[in-house]
Amino acid sequence: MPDPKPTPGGGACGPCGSGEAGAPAACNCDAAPRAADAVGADPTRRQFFGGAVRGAFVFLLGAVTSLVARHSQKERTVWQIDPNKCIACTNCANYCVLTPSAVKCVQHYPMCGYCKLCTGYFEPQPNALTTAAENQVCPTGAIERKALEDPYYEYNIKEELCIGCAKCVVGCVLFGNGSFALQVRHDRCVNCNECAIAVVCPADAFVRVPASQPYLLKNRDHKDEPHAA
Amino acid sequence: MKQSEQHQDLSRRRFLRGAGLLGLGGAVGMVSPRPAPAAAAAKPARATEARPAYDLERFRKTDPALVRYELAGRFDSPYPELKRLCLGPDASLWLTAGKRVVALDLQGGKKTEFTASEEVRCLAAAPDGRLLVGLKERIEVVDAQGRRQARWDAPAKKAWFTSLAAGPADVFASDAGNRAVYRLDWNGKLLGRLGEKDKAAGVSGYVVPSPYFDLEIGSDNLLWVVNPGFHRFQAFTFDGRLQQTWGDPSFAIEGFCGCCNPSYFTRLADGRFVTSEKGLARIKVYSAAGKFESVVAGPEEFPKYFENLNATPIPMDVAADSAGRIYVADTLGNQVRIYRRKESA
Repeated sequence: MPDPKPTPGGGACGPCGSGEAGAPAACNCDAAPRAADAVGADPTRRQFFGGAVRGAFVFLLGAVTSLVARHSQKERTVWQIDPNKCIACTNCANYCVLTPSAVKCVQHYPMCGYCKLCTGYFEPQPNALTTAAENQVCPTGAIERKALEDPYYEYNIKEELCIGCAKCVVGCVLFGNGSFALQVRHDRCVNCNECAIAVVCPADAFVRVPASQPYLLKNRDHKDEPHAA
Repeated sequence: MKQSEQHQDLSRRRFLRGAGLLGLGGAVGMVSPRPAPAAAAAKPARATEARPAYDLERFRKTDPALVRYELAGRFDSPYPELKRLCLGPDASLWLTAGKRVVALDLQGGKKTEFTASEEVRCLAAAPDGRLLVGLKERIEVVDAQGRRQARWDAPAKKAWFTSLAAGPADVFASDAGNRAVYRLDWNGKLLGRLGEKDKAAGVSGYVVPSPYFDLEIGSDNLLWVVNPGFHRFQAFTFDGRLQQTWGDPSFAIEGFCGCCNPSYFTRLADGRFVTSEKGLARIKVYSAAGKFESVVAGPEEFPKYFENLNATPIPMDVAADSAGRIYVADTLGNQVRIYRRKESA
């Protein structure tokens, strides 16, 4: 739009800028009704509501798109056992779709007392503190006992032999520091939509956890206070 | 041509109607709640294999002939989290519950109380009535009214005080964090360490798998310390010479079960030992020479201890008065149980 040219002896017609002398009312140009279209001029009510509706639509579209995108990017989850809820009932050994079960005993070494008489390794009243099968709690011999500096011993789980029966977990939790715990091992778990063990778990110990942090280790504070060993 | 247009129009309408219904159905499906998994899936009708259980049943029942004590009374702890107890020289029963320390008379009436700055781990009453209060890394000395008189920091880093013993001139403290027993004077000055590993002297050192590491000064003027990893008592002179040992690991009633027991003990006036174990909750009496004598309370007295594997309670502290009554801090029931010897025993 051309700038209105002021005339020395009178006002210029704003809309058409003809520059003719005299009162603006004398100008018959048809530019006057379109004055509202000019930049900086007030919009009509229709234009205002139209713009508002278009803006709201665009905003909602963006919000919905972002929500959908967020939902689709949600992290994959996997099954895991909360060791603070697990009651070591033996269902994990029996109900998994895999044989042997994808649930295994794991050793949380920072909690272990490295005891000579490990109640997770030995039967409640062993004949001797030796590795003879009749002295061991584990029905499949899946716990390895290694002598360290006297009188300490290290206990390791041989996962290829472990069936997830939790017998050792009972002994360790009841009498020891509770460093043995059952966990779903994700190198073999097929991550069923509905885990057969979770359905029968009497303690509701099966939970979904992010695949990036698939294990739930016990807290040292779990029982009553941190363990000193 | 017209028919074709109509056909096209109808098809489009049908298509849109169908798509609308599909969309509506999808929306309803999205907002409807998911069926509960338990309701959706019945338990698999799958035969389960019999798995061997960790069998403790045979140890949970005590031969009645061995039980020579009976429950003489009980009263609730005034606060939750009852943990430790000891008897003072003025017939006060001191209890700890979280940060609180409470003095009761022997019927359970409250005499005095105070609150420590953090959870109290252990306590001991001195012959002159003063009380030693063990926090995790600090020992506080308070008078009989609970006013703090002194505060001593642990002699070593990563300390975890588990037990205290107070004599007229000496104080002993066990530190599970460093597997050490300290001898201090009443100014908190470290006088020595007792029982550290010394092959030449035949001292094995302490094995402390969990923070239960009790000690007490005996009437024989020896410091008696539980070496829990070995299930053994050790007696030292105050300057650290090993004098006696006794104790064997066993789930049988004569021994100490689990991987670290006894958790707590006290001495009767005649020198006999009263021991408390965790895992199999049992309170027993041994002669001054360490020979098993009788049972105060067996596992069957504390059935709740086996109800939930993950609710295994903390062990029960014990104390004994001059009349031979035994006070047990039942941590699960949050009450003090008092046992006396049966008249027939």
